[in-house]
Amino acid sequence: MLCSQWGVYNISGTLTYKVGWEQIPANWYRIQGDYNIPDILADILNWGTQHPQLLSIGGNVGSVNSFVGVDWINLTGGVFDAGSILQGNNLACFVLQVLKTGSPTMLSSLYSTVATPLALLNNAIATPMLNLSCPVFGDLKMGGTDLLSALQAKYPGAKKAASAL
Amino acid sequence: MLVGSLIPLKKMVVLTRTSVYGLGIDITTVLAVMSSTVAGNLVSFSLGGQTTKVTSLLGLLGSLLGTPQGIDHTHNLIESDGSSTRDDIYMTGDSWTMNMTKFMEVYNSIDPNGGMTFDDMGQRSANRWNQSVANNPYFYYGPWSGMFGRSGGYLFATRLMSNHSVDHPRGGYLSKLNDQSKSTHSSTSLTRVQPETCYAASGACTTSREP
Repeated sequence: MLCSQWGVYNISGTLTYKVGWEQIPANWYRIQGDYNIPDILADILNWGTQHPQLLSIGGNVGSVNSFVGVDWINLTGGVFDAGSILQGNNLACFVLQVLKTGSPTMLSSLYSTVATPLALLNNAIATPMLNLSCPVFGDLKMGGTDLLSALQAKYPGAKKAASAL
Repeated sequence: MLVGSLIPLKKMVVLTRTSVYGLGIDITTVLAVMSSTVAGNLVSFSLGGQTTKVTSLLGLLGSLLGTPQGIDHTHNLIESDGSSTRDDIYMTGDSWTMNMTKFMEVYNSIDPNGGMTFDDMGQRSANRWNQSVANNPYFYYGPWSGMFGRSGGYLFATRLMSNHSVDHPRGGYLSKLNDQSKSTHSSTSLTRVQPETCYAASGACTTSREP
């Protein structure tokens, strides 16, 4: 299974990677039911409980092994803390709000007129946020500036990519 | 180079993701729109890099500045550091070609008679996160691209790409090779997907390719 889906073949006894040859093998059975945002959230929280670093937003700050995180109160403008972010759909709501907040800036660097792509993206985000009964957020801020600009300024990796999403 | 279409709604990417892999329409729509707006030209996007099949559509649906980059080039937007079998982009400049050394780490960790479990995959995610911190001065773990998107990558691999069975209907069982001997696949509650079905959406019906 691993080999087929990752494009690795046994050619003359040697495992060989063939670019673009990822495929679903014969006799493959798909997942029972769908795998949607609430399912993804439950799994992220499951792994995050086992490995807390997977819930630690942040990055290295100029050298290896210099990871600095941001606490949840600062990330969410006080809406959530380390305890409440793990409850219900809060984590998914926060992530979708981040995407919604960052969309105009992200798109304005790609499009001269953002109205259409922004509307497409906002519509795609709005539906799951409604279905998750997300709270209404204000624009996310940190240290007096918008959250994503603040993260981009703080983390060299985000600055280099011109994106902190 | 395969091209995914956004408009009209019956599109190969969404169809493939939902009916073949079972990815929910909620997350698929977000990902398809992100890919088309960030990496494409609003109607299409390349599953790799730049291609002549996806060009800027001047004056149509908003003018894209420059050339659609493809989803290979979406660092901190869709793509993130710390992948299981790919390098971090600021360490090698290539975060899309599989790194065979990393693949073999995963491959060798799997019991020949068993499969990589859901928890094994979580451990792999944590290990690769730690490795990025230790090796990549530019490592960044953002809320959308990192915590959610990167986790999604690992989760899709274990939940969706496993060969599902009565014992593992929701995935969490990635075997080394394509073991077809399990009698538990014969359950009628599971949907079998034929390769020719997968390719049929593009109009080209083919069976499994052999290199």
